[in-house]
Amino acid sequence: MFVRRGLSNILEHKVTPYVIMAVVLILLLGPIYWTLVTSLKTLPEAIQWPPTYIPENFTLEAYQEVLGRSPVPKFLLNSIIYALVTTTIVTTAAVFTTYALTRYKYRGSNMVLLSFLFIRLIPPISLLLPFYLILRQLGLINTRASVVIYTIYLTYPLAVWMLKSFFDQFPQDLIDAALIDGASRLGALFRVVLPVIANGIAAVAIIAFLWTWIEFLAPFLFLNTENLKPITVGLYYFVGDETTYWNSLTAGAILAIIPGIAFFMFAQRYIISGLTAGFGKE
Amino acid sequence: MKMQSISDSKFGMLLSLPGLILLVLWVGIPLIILIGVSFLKFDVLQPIQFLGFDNYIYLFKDRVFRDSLFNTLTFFAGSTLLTFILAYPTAWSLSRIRKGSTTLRTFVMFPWAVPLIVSGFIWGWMFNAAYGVLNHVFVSIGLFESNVNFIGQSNTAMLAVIIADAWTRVPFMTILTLAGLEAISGTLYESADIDGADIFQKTRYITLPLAKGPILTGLLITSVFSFRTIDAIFSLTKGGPARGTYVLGMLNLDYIYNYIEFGRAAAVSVYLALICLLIAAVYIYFLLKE
Repeated sequence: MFVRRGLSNILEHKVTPYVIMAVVLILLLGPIYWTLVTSLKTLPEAIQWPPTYIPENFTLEAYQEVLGRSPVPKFLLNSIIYALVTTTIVTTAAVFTTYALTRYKYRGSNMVLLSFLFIRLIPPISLLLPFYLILRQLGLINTRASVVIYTIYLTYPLAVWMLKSFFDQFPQDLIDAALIDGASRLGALFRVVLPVIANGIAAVAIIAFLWTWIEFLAPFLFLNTENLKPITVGLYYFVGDETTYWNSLTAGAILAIIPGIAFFMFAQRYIISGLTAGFGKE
Repeated sequence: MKMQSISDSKFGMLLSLPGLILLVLWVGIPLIILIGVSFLKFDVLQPIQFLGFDNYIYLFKDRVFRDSLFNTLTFFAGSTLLTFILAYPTAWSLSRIRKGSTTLRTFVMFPWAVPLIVSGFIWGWMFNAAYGVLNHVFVSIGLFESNVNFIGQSNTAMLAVIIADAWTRVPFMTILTLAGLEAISGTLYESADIDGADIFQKTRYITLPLAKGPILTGLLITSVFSFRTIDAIFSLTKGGPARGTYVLGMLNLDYIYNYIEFGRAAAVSVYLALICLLIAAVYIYFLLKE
């Protein structure tokens, strides 16, 4: 009992959350720090023992190598293309679908909504094979389209479900008022609803972008030309049979992480609202 | 305008067409093909042949399949547990910190931005037997006498892939738990304080019951995702050593990519989906039990 009281008092102390956060941040950010530090070393220093915690010869040579003499810029460009195309298609289509499913219900529309929830429980890896077979049949293996077709499947149900909670929160009265004023149903969507839930849509778009950006298995399976690979697959360029170029690999890893970090720095609140909206209400 | 003349329900149907097309073409047809192929002998050498349930039975008896099923369960349970162990105290601390909490939340989210395949590379580099920083840390603080080859032994390799997976899942779990904690009214804790309740009682009788929904949802998503995602394993251990971290997803990929036996791959995929749905069903049962 005494021990329990003591422990309770320690946990209730107002400094405790800060101590816990300090430990957590070391665990969560340490690996990113170590990746960054390694990328700023020369290869000999990167594989030196004992390791140096701050680069002795601070150098950008790994980045010069990666950006100047390797296909990484192409990989990054491919990742951006896949992510942007997927995000544009998915967000646009999901806005219409969700507007319809939440505001203009028809027989079976709730079933459609529930299907989108159910789809997300089917492991995407289980559908890799049928996608592979279909794409092969259509002659789309090793094309940009193959990746986008798959990432649309990956992100669309989530986008609908996230948007649903933003649409649900929008007051019907405002839509009705716009309709009485003579707006069409699509006009009400564009002029009344969308401006208000713009932040939510931005969140959906960002999450769709990141979700496509981090995808590995589908492009790994569908693509075999270096020219088409996104960065997640392209990083294998630095993994050799004999040596791995750790400073270049970590530099590539940092470049692969940057978009996500940037989004979290500038739009953290929207992303979190989107995530809690999309997942919290199931 | 022409649109105006159709009824609301027809308008809804028309507007949700992109979603309906996706349901049919992107999910319905692939699912039917998947189930169909799982009953076939389908490789590149011989003509396609109908096998009935032979692929399923073969796998059920196959040691590699059973071992990888066991590894999959270890992996997802370990990853979910570790994620929760890290996320709950993080969320709890964030809910109590006022000053600088926005910045702290941003930092906590960072690992979520790391693609899992990259997480595998990062942790592989840190666990490296010859140059890994973790070996240096562990030896320096006296935990080990000399460098350990984490990736080279089955048990520690499993631990390594669990860490690499859980690391990227902590942020999301934290966010959902935090949403649950912040929805609890402060007056409940105040009256518990007046009654002299300690933190364990408050956690057990106030926090956990009231934040149960978001926490269970977070655990559901963490479980389902770590059950079906193999990226971190792929870049960290490739399923090794000696198949010690070989999971169902790797088996599926090998049947598609290396052995080119699509029938078997489809049967593995169906097993994978069924177990995943079963796990989800357990959580959903507890979520709806309220």
